[in-house]
Amino acid sequence: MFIALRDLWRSKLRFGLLTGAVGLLVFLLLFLNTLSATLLDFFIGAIESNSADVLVYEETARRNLQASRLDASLIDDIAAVPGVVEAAPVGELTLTAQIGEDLTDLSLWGVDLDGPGRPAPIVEGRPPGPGEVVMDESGMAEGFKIGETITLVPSGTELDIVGFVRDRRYAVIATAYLDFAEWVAVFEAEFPGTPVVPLSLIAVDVDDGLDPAVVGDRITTAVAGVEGLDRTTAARGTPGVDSISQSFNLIVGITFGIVVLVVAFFFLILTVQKLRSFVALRAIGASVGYLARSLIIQVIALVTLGSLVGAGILRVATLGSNPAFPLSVDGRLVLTVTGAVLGSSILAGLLSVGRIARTDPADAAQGIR
Amino acid sequence: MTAINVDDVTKIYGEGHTAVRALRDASLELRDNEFLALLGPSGSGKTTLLSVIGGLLAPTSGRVTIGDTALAGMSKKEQTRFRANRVGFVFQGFNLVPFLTARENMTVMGSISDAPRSEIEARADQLLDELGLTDRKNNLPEQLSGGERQRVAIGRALVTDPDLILVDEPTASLDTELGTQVVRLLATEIKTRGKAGIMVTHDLRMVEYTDRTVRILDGELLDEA
Amino acid sequence: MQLALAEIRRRRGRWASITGAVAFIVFLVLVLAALADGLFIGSTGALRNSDADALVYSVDGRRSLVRSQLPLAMRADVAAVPGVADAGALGVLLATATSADEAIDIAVIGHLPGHPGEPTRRSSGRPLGSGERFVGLADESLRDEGVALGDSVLLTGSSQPIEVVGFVSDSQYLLADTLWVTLETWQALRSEVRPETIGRGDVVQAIPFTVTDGVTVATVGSAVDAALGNTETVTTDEAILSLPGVEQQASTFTAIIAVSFVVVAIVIALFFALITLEKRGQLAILKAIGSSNILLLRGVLLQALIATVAGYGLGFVLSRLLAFVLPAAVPVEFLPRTALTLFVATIVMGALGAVFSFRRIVRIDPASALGGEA
Repeated sequence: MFIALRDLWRSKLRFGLLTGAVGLLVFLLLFLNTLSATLLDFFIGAIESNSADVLVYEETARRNLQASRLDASLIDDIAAVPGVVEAAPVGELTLTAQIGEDLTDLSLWGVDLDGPGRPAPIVEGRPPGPGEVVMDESGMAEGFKIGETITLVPSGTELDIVGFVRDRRYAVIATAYLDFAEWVAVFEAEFPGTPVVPLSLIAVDVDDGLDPAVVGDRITTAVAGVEGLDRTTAARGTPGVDSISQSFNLIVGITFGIVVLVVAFFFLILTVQKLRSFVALRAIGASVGYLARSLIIQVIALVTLGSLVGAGILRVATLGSNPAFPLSVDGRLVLTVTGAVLGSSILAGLLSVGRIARTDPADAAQGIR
Repeated sequence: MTAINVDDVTKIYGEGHTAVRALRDASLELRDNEFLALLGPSGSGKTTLLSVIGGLLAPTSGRVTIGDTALAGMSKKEQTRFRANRVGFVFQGFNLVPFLTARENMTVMGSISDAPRSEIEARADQLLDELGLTDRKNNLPEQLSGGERQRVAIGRALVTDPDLILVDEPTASLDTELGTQVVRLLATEIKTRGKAGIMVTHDLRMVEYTDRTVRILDGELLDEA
Repeated sequence: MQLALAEIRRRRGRWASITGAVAFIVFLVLVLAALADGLFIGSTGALRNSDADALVYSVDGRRSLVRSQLPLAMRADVAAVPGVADAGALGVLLATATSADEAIDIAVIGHLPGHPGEPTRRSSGRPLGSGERFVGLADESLRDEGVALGDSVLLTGSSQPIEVVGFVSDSQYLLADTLWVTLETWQALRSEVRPETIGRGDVVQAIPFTVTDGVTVATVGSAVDAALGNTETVTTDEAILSLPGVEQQASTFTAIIAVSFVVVAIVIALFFALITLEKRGQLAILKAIGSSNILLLRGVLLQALIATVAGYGLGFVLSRLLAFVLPAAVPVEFLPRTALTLFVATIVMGALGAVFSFRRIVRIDPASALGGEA
């Protein structure tokens, strides 16, 4: 403590610069994590936070909702699978919508309002009735507010927004939910003369206490041409999710490694610089343990301070973030990242401890300058 | 009472034909309250002897006993504690910690030795006063003159109230007046506090302040001059 | 000079540390850039390697190659606008196919061979003939999925296999492999895979066109929009950035890379400042024996140059090695231009860091060499 804090205090510039560097790197880590979490949320929130236990896709769709096309007749087959309480149709259609004066993309979901896949819980407003929709609340940024009316282009169908749900965005565009029967009408208006109205998914609720993944497998086996998946598997399996999360994991991993290396290198250099002092302190009776504790205290102080700086920058950065892409400071993420960086940095600091342990206190007496 | 007993100590550095025999069958006895000058040219083994007595170097053969403690039987850990609690070193290069102030270079012993911190701090202030450093106590080593640094190093050696004070060339970088002053100060501290002290020097003028002189040449101790 | 080199040689551990730190940061930025480039390239190939100068979309299609709808008949109207050299047509069908028991995402792009909008980088096989049915050019990325020249690809929901008669490179669309077919084939496939679109009749997604020499694309674009009404004409470059996610990705990565760069600068400057601090005594002696500041600066710069060049080299090699172990889902693309830019930037940053630390050398008082022990 004694040595550690005084050394920190007397080398403010050095430690300040390093704290800044660690802070920026931690910010980068936090920022990347936040970015990827928000991105994934926007991308597959509608699947990951769906109210249904199991989502059934067309087998050849590769868990791609937009490529999945199911026939309504399958609903009864799926409902008959043991463990299935109820099965309901889900249709998704991405189209252009006019809200106020603006044209924007809209992902329109037709669901059984009381069955599996229902838009719930409603966080604001009320469930939709005829000619009404509830939206994912992030749509606010694009101008979708309760009380506004959406006009679908080019069909001209009008839909009133009466409520909001949370974390139910899909494919990074504004997402609305309405009754399945109305969705079918929208689909037919969008594709005049269509011979079929394909379902995108079939949403399934399973018996209490049953593992959705198991029931999903049962459905896959029992019904030809479909694949039943629990929400998490379905969300993670959505094409593109892999690319996004792996790309980000890669960057985060590398950045993490760099934080640790920078801390390790820095302390190693500092240690080598102060080797004479360490030798002298060992000669006058300081144990390696004592010096190691001093060094580790410095590492902890520095990384903690750096993480605070990083979290602070993130806070500032999120203040200026685009409302269409809400980035927020997740306290648990900050703690996790700080903890991981701290743990690894302490390990990295042991490198320097090793260097101190290798010194020979007898050298102090030799008067080597 | 016998404070230091060096019995037939030999120290060899290196191996084979590059081996250097720094000490040959050195024997020495020192009583409490005794201040000994170890006199010899450079390379004669003075510093090695000091290191062996202070528990910094293990002798190749022979034994060293401090009070009733044999150094040979100690583990590394015990040696470290021995140095922290019972030995006061003043190294040739002073070896002050550059990022600690004059006072902190002394009080740092409060976290290294087993002595209570408050005791160390009180003694540090007293020593700063005795050594005439009170005005300089908040200066870093780089802001101190050579003599001041030397005195801080002496203060650090005395602050734990050790049984044994080992001083290596205290006057090497000081002028005669300052050198004399520093050695006189050391002698006073050793005498008034009842310690055993060894001072390595090659400056004959400093001998008058010590009780006894032992000469060392090529690692061999020659009796009093 | 001699001194600078000797120091690096004698203090190998320390300089290796600096080089290592630089290497890892270079590695990070290179991989970031490769990811950004990979995403950009994989998303935009279909439009980037097109010979069209501009694309006409429907207004409500909002520059989306999937949602825009225009009657095919409009192609003649576009071609008739003064300044338009030639007009083609583009239709996109997002589908899946099964190859070697693996389902793959395929963007089937219908176009008019010989007219604007066709892929320009054919790597093997033969070009498509006008109106030729159920043959296609596959993107090179389909080779990785096990598709070879002469193989047939069967789309899910379709009864007609498409024979691959050639390959084109760098023609991906939003990270999906592409299969380029004639407009006629595309229409046939669409009504099978997406029967609901039958009622829409003869529509395409966009009309790409080229302009005659001497006129600007923007002027012609305005003329097209004026003549057709209810269309939005954008240059190919704009169309590329308007692809879903492309601009956001680009700006996100630019932000990440910029932050990384700030960190590079600080860290490198920090290391050099440290090294210089440590050498203060030694530099004081050199100044005392008559070295000029310039001479010392040259040494410091040379050291920075060596450390950054070595660090860059190491980071570069590391990033290339990473490409071997990356999962296929991560799109990376190493562009020589990006690597070169980063090379120059790293050296400049290193030099700046060195100069920053050099200010400390200038302030060293040669007399302090005589003061001795600190």
